[in-house]
Amino acid sequence: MNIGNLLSEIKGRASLSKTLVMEEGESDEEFVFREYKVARRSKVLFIAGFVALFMVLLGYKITLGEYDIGFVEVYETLWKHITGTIDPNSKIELMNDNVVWDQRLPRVLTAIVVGVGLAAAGAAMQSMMKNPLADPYTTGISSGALFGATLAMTLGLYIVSGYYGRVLNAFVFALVPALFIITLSKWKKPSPAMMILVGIAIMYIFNAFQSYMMLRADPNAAASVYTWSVGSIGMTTWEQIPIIGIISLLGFAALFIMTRTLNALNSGDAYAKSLGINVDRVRIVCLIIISVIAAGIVSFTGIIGFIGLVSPHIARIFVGSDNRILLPASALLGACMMLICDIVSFLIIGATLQIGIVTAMIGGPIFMLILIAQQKEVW
Amino acid sequence: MKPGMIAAIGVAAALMIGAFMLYATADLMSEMNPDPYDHYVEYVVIGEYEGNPLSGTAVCDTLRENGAFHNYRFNIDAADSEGNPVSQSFTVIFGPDGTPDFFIESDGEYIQEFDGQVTRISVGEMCKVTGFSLESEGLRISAQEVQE
Repeated sequence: MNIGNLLSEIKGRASLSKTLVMEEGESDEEFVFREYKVARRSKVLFIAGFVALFMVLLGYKITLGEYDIGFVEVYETLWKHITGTIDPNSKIELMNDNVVWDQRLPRVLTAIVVGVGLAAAGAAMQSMMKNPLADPYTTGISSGALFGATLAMTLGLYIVSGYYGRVLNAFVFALVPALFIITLSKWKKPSPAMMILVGIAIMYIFNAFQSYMMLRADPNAAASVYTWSVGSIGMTTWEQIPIIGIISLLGFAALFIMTRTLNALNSGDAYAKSLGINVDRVRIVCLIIISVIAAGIVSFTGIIGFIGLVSPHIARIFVGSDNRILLPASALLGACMMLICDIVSFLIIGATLQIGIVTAMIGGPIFMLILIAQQKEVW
Repeated sequence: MKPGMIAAIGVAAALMIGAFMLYATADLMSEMNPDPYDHYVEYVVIGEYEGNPLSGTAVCDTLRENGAFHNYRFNIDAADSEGNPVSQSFTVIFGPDGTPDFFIESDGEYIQEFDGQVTRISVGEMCKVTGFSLESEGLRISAQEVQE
């Protein structure tokens, strides 16, 4: 069996409703209702399965590190910290608390909020642009954000001074490719593939400018910017988690509110307009939200590719294209994928391997397999 | 296979290669500029164990956990004047504010009562512990970095 057939079979098994046959004496309405119930149950099972997987991955990821802490001990320590029952006289409890709560949990939470933000942004962007290749990475939005942040870090050029000047720089430059893509789509009506190629071209332009800045920068600063830009979640602390969490989760919530509109856009501009939707305004608002998410994430973690691209595609196989379910399912899958990539990165080299390289190593081939398996008209 | 799809696969491959190139560059640059404080350090140890003079060596390794915290594991290998071996290992975790937290393990148990201090120099992201002292029931140790 080739890989394409294998994936088609998985897809077939996931969409149980396709294998249903009408029972004897069953009316059309009863059959449709049964089909709907089976489809809904498979979606609930998918979400429940991934919630369970998420909890296992979360606990397992926290066990990995230089200090030996067991799976149950991880949840015990988290519970004791949350309930404030850590014994201040027990050195082992204090040690476990320091390692689990202060050192490992920020990294894990960063992985989760980054996964949620990128996957939700990718899912929304794919629906909005009717383009299965769209995500902040392939449309150059992440590269724009990276360029803005690098400008602040190497040359000290800030729109506003201070640490959060980097985030604002990233946001402003993330808007450049976003606005370019909006303008292009209104002006030339490009094909999905062309739109992505334009995004890639923008990405390379930003990368060229970034490389030039690196050549002029101090070697130590350049080395740390390179390391950071590959995509790293190992430097985040509790002070940064609320900021990146708020950006990511509020972005997700804002996109979730727009899911009905995104469903209409996914059916075509003419249909959306017939429902009284101002298509251009929705696209601009959506791109601004996505740019904020991408800028927030990139300015803290660097570029983490393929999560926003692959998670919605996998989720779509199981839950379909309804954005009301697709968006949360993609977010959950994005968080799981980030945790899996972080676990793999630890198991390959240790805590020093940047997660961005692992998401490319795992996400790239998965994406190609999905492309080959799903020979859609849109290509 | 449709041309659009071939382009999409090409794009995915280019993005993967781009990520690898960036990683390779980052790795090369960090090798060219190694952190002078991120390495193995040796110490000379002197002190007292159960009233007898003690001497030996100690080594320190960096543990990788979170980039904002610096984790150091010290292993002491010494003997008192009567030839009794004294082996002790302990961990010092420097938080983002630079405050050290000591965790001393002996025979699989964490020692509760002790007094520990470190002297260090700190440049850039890492810091280097140049000396330390420990005092617990029956044991007093002080260590200084071996100068090359």
